[in-house]
Amino acid sequence: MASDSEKTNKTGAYEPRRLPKQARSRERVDRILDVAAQLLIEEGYGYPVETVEMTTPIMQVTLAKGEIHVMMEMWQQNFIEWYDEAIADGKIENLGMTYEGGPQFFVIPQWVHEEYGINTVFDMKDYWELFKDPEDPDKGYFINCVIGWQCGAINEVKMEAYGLTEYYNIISPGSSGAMEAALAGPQKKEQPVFGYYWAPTALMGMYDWYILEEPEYDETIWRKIDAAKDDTALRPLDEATAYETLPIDKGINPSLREIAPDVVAMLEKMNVGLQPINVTAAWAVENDVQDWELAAIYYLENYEDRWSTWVTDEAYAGIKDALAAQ
Amino acid sequence: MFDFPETLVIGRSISKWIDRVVDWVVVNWDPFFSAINIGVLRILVPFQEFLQWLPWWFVIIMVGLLAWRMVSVKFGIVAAGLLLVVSFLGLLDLAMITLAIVLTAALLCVVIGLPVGIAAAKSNRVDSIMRPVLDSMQTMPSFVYLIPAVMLFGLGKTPAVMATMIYALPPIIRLTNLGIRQVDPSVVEAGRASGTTSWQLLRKIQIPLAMPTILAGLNQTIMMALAMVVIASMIGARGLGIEVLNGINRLEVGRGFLGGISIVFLAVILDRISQGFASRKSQTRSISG
Repeated sequence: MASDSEKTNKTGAYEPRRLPKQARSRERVDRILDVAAQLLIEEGYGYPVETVEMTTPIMQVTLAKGEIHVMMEMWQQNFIEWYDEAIADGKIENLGMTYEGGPQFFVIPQWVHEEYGINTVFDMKDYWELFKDPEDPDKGYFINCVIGWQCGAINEVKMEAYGLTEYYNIISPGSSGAMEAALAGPQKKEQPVFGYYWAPTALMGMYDWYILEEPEYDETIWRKIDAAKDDTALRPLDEATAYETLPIDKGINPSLREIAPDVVAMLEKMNVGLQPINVTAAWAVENDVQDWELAAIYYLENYEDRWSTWVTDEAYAGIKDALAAQ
Repeated sequence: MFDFPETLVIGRSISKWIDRVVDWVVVNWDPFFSAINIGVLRILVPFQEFLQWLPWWFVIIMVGLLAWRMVSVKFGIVAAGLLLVVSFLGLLDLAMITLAIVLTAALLCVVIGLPVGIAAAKSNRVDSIMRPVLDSMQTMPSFVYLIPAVMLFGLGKTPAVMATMIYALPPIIRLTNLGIRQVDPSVVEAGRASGTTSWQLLRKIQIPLAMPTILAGLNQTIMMALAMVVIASMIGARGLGIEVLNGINRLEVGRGFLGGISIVFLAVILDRISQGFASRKSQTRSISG
């Protein structure tokens, strides 16, 4: 099994360059998934499991060769050509969704949504004064993603298309740490804040956020956004859409079907859920958990209703015993 | 080697405690830090808007004239030339934003640094307390205090000015202290003998005689403030640092280099002008005094 903590791949869809930068928050999620799967397989089915950390290109080679058997998060959108070929050649197999995908969105604190009835990105026009920019009090401010990441330019195009640049200054932090702090600070102080973020991340689980409604993802419009992000002559667009949420899939080497067919059957059903993973990651951050096994146990203890549907009765008993012994 | 006994390791609990203190400060001291934020912005924003409002040719000519008056005709031409290059690169506007942040930070450093430096010169006790504080301000990796600064002030200019000040304040304090301590004791004695109060002694004798050293400290403070430009951009201050960060994060080496070289040009101009100012001051002193 591989943990892909460093995503170095630079080809593929519209967001590849952002992925390596996510390591900080994302790494935790990777490890929680790996250790949870490891516990289920070892305690429920009795196979020994070893987890290995590697980069995307090495994962591709070793998974196709059968040196590792399971990859909990493939992010195949980032190497779609290689993936299509490997699937066609039967070198790897896709066992379906691990969670509902890494959504990206515009957020405000939940209490702001409730108190002011802000539901959509367009509502934000009427409430810019809540998010006043201290450096330019005639406008509000929007916390963009990190300088140089692809999402930064995409967000600019979207803000412009939604007519929000008239009301908001777009502020770009220079590092992911600064971005997290800029969103977490106002939440701690119970002040309004408006920005871009993504999931599953600890920050999303640590505070209550409201995801602003946007026009539903539409491929034709998305292509226009994608073009306008690199070519300012195409701006402003008159419409934009939400980010596409791509499911994050599990990949296996086909040899696993012979070695451990029962594990394959379990993995096929293993959809951990985005919100449970957010909550678990946030729990790990808040309690300063260094040991991933503890976070995985937290997940298994709190989301039994999920994992109990993936495993056989016999495996269920073994896992319950192991959890009780903790 | 034997390891340090693990039961005695308390690093984790200390770091948790610091987390709690920072959280507490972020939540409970918000009015205080908001007031600082507004205060800094009240100086910085109009200053920056003024610099950006000036026509480009006016800025270049004024900097050229200033460099001529303070340094030499030759450097006047060089300084104007360097700014012209920055304009051709399309970065003059960003350079003005950077200049506003650097000069505001330097001004605040003078306001805080002079009195602290004088206090350290007057009292050995203050001096011995200040020394390790200044050492840690200069060596503590800036990322350590950048993140709490963003939580306190939000993204933008104020945390950038604060971070810049932490790094750029020590030279002016150190050199003010040094300058005053180096004033010839016989001159101070003569002043005392003629019945000056200690305030008069400071104002009329010690500070004027220490001025060249203090100005050398100001020069160092300005240079160190410039060195923080890129770091400041990491927490949302616009300016030339943004170009460098864009260059790094997108692997656009050329773009990063142009941003970087513009910072260097700005540094050369500010360095020579402030040095020239310092040496002119000391010359007029020696002629008139």
